[in-house]
Amino acid sequence: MPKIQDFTPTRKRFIPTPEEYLKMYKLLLRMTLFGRELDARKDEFIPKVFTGLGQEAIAVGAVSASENYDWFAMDHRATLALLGLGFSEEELICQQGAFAESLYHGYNFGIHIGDMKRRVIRFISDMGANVAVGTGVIDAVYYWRDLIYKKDQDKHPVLFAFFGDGAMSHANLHSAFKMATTRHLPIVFILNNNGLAIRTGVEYQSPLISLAPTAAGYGMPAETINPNYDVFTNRLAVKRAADYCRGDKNGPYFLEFKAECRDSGHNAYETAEMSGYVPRELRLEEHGRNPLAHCALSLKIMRLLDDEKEKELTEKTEARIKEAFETKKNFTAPSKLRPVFKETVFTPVAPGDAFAETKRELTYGAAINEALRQAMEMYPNLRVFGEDVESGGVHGITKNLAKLFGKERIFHMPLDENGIMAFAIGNALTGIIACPEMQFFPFIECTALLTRYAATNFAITGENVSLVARAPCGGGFSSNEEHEKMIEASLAHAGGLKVVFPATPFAAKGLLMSAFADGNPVIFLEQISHYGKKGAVPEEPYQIPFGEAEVRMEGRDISLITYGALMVERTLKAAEILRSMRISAEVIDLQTIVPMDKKAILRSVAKTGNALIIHEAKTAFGAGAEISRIIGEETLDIKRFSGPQLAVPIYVKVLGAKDGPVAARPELEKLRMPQIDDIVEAAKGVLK
Amino acid sequence: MSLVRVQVVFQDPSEDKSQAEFELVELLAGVGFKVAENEALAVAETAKAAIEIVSPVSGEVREIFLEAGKIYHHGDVLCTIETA
Repeated sequence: MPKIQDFTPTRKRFIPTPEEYLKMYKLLLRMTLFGRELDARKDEFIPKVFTGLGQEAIAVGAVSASENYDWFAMDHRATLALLGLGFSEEELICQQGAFAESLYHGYNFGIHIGDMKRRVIRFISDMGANVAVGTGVIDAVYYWRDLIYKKDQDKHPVLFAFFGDGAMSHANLHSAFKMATTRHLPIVFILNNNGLAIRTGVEYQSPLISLAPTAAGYGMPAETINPNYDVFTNRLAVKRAADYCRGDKNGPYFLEFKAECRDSGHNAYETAEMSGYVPRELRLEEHGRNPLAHCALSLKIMRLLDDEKEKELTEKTEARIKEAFETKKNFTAPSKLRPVFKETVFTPVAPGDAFAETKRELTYGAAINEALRQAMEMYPNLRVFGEDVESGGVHGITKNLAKLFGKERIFHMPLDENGIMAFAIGNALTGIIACPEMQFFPFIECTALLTRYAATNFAITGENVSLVARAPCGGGFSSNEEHEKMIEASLAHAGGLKVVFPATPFAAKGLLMSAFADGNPVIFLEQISHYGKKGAVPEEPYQIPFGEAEVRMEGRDISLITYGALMVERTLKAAEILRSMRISAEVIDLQTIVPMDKKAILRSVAKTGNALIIHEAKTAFGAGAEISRIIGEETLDIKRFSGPQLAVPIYVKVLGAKDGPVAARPELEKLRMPQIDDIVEAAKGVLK
Repeated sequence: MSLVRVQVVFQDPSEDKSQAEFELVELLAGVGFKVAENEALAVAETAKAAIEIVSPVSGEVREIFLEAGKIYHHGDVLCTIETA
């Protein structure tokens, strides 16, 4: 409600103290001299060195404008400003060389750095990824503050998110802008528009002279700071923007720091190549905009610095840098590959009781709904979000949850899977169990972040990502490629995602409860065509371990190895028909594709000597090919423990969908996807 | 006063960079030339791009070891510069 006092125009001043002016200078000096030394010694490092030389004033301005509880998502030209955020020269040198002692133990180098403990979100070479992920981080920071810890509510953290003009074209940035503006997130977006994305001019990214209007169109204040080499101006701009963001429901603010070109190249070596794409005169002009020299001159005119003090500080900083480089000889080459998954200790929630006989029946969909509800009761840090989920989702699986848990815990998202996944990863990095619903499984293909960020994070950083992406999937009803295509093999191939596919309501509830407790990124597949099918489900919460297959039918002659509700159901029906033909088939339901229960496969194959693998996904390059590999590689072992009566090689066949897109008409789908008769025929073929 | 050796280094994806070649296209400075820090001394062509070899210091060019038009390897010394 406006009051009369609100009508008087006001302006807040953010004047630095003399100490703050000098602190800015010192950080600028440290960053610049360190960058120059790295540049001069670039050939000593195995990975390429990136310095961002000549553009230090942007990041120093922002760091100087921040509070000690604010968050940062650095871009590669701002990384050396980490010196102002608790990172030491030694640490950054170690990171430049990707040594064993570095933060990521040799898995990433230089600018690809972050540390959640110091409130810095890891930068990766997917432009703007950490900015998009940052929307989830800052949102979750407030979730923890207001709903879990309920303290420090007078502190309003802001995320300072850096990126370049090239990244402005990237989906990650559009995801971030959308998420930040619609959710009113306190983010200062900091665009370093130096006119070049490596060698591509900004005119190839946008026809606009300034890119600020692009951001303004998303619904946030946007301004351009040009030129961008004055630390004090930059600090003031960021300070004002941050103050705005800390205001009540104001949301993000966009700052564009603009220049015609940059003084240093994309990386330290690339500087020498700039003569090929930047006019020498223009580069010289940019070289003249030396932020450090400019800052020193300003401070001298302001009588806050003199030649003597400048010399003293310079020598001190140089000595510090020299000392830091001395430690380089102590760093060693890495020699150990790191685990991909955080170890999960399986602890059944209700040991014994839950697995007892139950007469209670629930549908597959209701079992998932019950698991969601019980898990949300158990874990206050579990959040569910996605397109349509507040009102139950397109499949009705999240029905009634919003009423029970409120919109801070279960909420709609923009129609942007990339943004949803980025938001989920950001949430998970703060310790939230993030549960995005992906509406239809193939939509996951719109989010490369899943594999680039979530699947690699634990191996690289040692920090786990507790993320359960629910993905309604599969065919058996009339739709098309974009809704039904099965892509589990490509996700399994990421090598850092667990892939789970329950076949029954009992498995759906138990495996989903396990997914929430797992602590790793899990893709939880739900068979859309089976949402309405009923089965026994105990009321109390329980877990089913990952990596343990279920023998759905015992047999002697052939192992039918499959997964997923639709294929398990069809395979069981096929096994019945085979039985009437006096063929004894064993049906193995893998339940989880990653991790895969190798023992169950080998035990069964050793017994039967024949294997038919059935899945909804295409045959070529699918999970069946992987299972065939396992059987092939382990054949000798199989023979060893099954005895000489087993004929080797074991005959293996994969029955999946045929190549080509999913079809809308059931008549075509019958031709494309494995049917009961196809399974029977294929099994008979194996046994011939 | 000190003598600084100017090595020609550039980005190259090979495992052993010492085998990476460049052609010295043009010499922009000669023996006895006074050069400023960051001033271009020569232009070279690598497999990827044309590069400028700039002086890391201000001083006087003492000796030049490479000739225009010839092929050299990553890390070869172009010249020495005596700082003022």
